[in-house]
Amino acid sequence: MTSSPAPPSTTRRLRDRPSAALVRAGAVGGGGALLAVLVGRPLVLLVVVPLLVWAFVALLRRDPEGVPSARVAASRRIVEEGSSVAVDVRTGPGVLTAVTVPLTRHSDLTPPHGSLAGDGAVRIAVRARRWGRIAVGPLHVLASDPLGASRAQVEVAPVRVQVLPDASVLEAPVEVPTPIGVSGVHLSRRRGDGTALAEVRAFRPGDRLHRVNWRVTSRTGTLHTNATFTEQDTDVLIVTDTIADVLPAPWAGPDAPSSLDVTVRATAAVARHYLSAGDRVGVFDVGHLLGPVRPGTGPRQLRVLTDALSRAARDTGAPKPARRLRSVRPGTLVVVCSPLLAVPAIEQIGVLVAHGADVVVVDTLPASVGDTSVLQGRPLAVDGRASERFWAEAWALRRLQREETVRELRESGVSVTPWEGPSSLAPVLLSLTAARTAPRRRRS
Amino acid sequence: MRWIQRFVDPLARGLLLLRTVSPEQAGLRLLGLAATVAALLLTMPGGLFSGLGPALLSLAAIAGLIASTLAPDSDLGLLAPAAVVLALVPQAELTVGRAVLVALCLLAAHCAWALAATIPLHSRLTRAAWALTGRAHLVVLVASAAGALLVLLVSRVDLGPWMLVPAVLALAALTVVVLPRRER
Repeated sequence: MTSSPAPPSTTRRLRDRPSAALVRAGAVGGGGALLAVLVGRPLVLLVVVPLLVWAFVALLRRDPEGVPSARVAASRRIVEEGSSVAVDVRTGPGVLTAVTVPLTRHSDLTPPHGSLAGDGAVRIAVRARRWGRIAVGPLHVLASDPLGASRAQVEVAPVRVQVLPDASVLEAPVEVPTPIGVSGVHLSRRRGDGTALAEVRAFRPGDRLHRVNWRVTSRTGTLHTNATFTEQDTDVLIVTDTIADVLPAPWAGPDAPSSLDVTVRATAAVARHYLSAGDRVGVFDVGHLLGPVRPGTGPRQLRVLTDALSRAARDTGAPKPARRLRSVRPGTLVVVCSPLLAVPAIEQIGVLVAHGADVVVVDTLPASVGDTSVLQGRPLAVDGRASERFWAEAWALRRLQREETVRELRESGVSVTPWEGPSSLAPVLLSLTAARTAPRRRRS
Repeated sequence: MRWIQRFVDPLARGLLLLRTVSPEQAGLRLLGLAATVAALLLTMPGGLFSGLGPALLSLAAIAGLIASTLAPDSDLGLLAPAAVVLALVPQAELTVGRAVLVALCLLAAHCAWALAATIPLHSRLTRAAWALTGRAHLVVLVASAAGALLVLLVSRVDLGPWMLVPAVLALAALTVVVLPRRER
């Protein structure tokens, strides 16, 4: 999903100033020439001639109007996770242009330290490793003549790039337990116009003639028709828990995702999966980082969703009360993305189940958090230093406590599965569909 | 152990910073350093510290060299070439060959420092940038050769005391050209 290239931005013409090298060449060359003349030593003049010539050539090449202005353009303003955007800086031919870009979090620069010099044009590539909004810059542009005798500097405003979350293709069936829409691709239990055969029954007034089963009719002597199940679409609601962003353990690696990263990526993948099947998908955030997204269908809804997800920022402000979803249409497929730590989020799952929704919980707690395999009976060393706070042990205990919550959810009929990529939800969705035909227990 | 850490940590940070220096910057600074040292050695064949005068000039040159290596844009970089020129002035035994070699070393050092001052410490240069700066320096080299030939030819002309007149005129013209102009 990309946009057209952004229009280039312009700055005023740059006024260049003599460098220390030009002053050095003039002072040593001129002073040496004067000394050579005064003492009558032409060979000393021979020694300083190259410096004088260097200064003379630099002054001849210098444009009194200054250096052409720096123009910055980005190849794209909206990219996907893992994609690159090229930032071009142009001055003019024959101008030695050095561009420096500060290192940006969760992105890789080419060249690695973000500084490159070229002849009138410089291209720096930025590869975004994580969704969100990144500001490439401010760009520091230094334009000088090829000898380095005069230079001009300017700082250009950052180039802002929106990085969409990776909406990987979900390797899961599109069937839902209880389709509640009007017309779609999901097989429902309701009889009506469809393709899946429900039964062969006696013809009634109003039945369509092309549905008549002539084989059974000729055998029985009475007109019989094929009754079919209807195909419907459904509502899919993705409930995200952004109350807290749980960071991965320090030893998990620099690119290990936090709970918010997993939430955003899982939301994007699930939304894409069901939107491609023609269902209505909406988002409700129990926290305050993602704005609510009204249910919608089609590619436009996917763009709206991924745009809302990429605009989320890690909130470091004061904690706010969690939002509550009061009601949901019975039969709605609800996918809850939560680390299952905050009480409001767990209570929200209960409310959704009580209202008759088909709930699937995606566990977004990073696997490295509370991992007991790293515990060795003594303080863990992180970056060569033994921790004095026992965070790993504390999280291990918290994870054990959380197992109780997960067990209770499963016993009440809610599937809980950790997000491990595009194939995570397949077994859960299949089991939900199988459960549709199983004998039901009254939920009291 | 903490006092060892206080000593080792800054050293380790400095070494890590060195790793970020681009090959281009490292090459330019090494070239400037080597060319300046070569110019010094050619200027004082008897030794850098063979007398009080040479010792003082050598110390000044070394100070300027260190300043230029750490900050190529430093004004102290003027000390090294100035010391070389001052050391050559009283030398009656200076030959054309040695003068040309010293001139080339000074030019190489000056060009290296000037280019190193233009680009950041960790900046890379594209091929186009090398070609651009190479073409400009080639012009300087050719013009320097022409200028040197002119100096050698003119030096053979003996006008006696009247030699001062064209010399002063040439200096005045040079000063007028080199003087900074008021910017519009």
